Amino acid sequence: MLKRIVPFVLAALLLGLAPALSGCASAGTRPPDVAAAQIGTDVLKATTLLQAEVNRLTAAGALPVPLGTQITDGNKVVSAKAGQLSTALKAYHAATSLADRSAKASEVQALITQLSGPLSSMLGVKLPDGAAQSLSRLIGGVMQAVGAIQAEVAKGLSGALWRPQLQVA
Amino acid sequence: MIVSLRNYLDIILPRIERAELEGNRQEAARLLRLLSSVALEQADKLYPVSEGAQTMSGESKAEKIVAGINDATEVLGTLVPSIAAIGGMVRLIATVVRPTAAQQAQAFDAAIAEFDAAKAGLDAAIAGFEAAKAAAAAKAAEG
Repeated sequence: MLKRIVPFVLAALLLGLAPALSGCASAGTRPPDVAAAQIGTDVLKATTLLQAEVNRLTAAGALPVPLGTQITDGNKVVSAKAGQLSTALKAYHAATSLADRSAKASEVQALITQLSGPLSSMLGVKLPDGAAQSLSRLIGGVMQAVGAIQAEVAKGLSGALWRPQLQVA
Repeated sequence: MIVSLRNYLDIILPRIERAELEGNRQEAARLLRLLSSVALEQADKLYPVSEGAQTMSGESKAEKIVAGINDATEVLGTLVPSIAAIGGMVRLIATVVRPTAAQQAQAFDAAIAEFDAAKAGLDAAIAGFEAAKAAAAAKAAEG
């Protein structure tokens, strides 16, 4: 236990307590709507990486254009849902009552569920040998990010108000 | 304030360690509380009560933090060296105090701005693919 604590205390000593406090507060008491937006950003970044690899492989001739188009079509759905997700997250953030908050969280959840279709479609693409490894990894990254946002929004759906957790090292 | 707190840590930590080595836990606890009062002052600067920061249970932030620090001092200070208690204290202050509504709104706005920028990046990548695809199709048609 001491070994786990010592680096933390040393960091506090070196940097001053204020940055340490700020860091802990943002990581440990992050409201679900902020967290969902941040994880949503991760989804978009993962999808962008996937699209960039599709572009690269297609340009290099390692991925046939029809297969690249199939994955890109899935990414277009992610992009379209992202716009709606941004709007839904703003409504979730603005909700003032618990019931309203739960309803808005459901909308966010529904949008995320709708992403499963294009993601399944991506998984079904028969990738050529030269492209399979990198694309499979990147598609996995997108799915992992979607799973994370789903878990985060589930907190809002549970009806529990966000509250800071009392933690003692 | 940060420099002042660091000075406090530099001065008080060795004294706490010495007190513990000597088995003087009462003195170690007293020094920890002294340190906590400085940390509390710092926490108040980060999350001013005047801006509405308070615990969910409605207790005043100061009461909650002081009570938590006392608990941490008592529990952790008797189990492990005081350095662990200080680590616990710092974490406790950070987790008990929640950001104000204004701070939450600011964090959300920043998160949404980053989200929108990421979406623009994705759209640019998709547009790049479509342009390359159209160019390849045009070239094939020419050939």
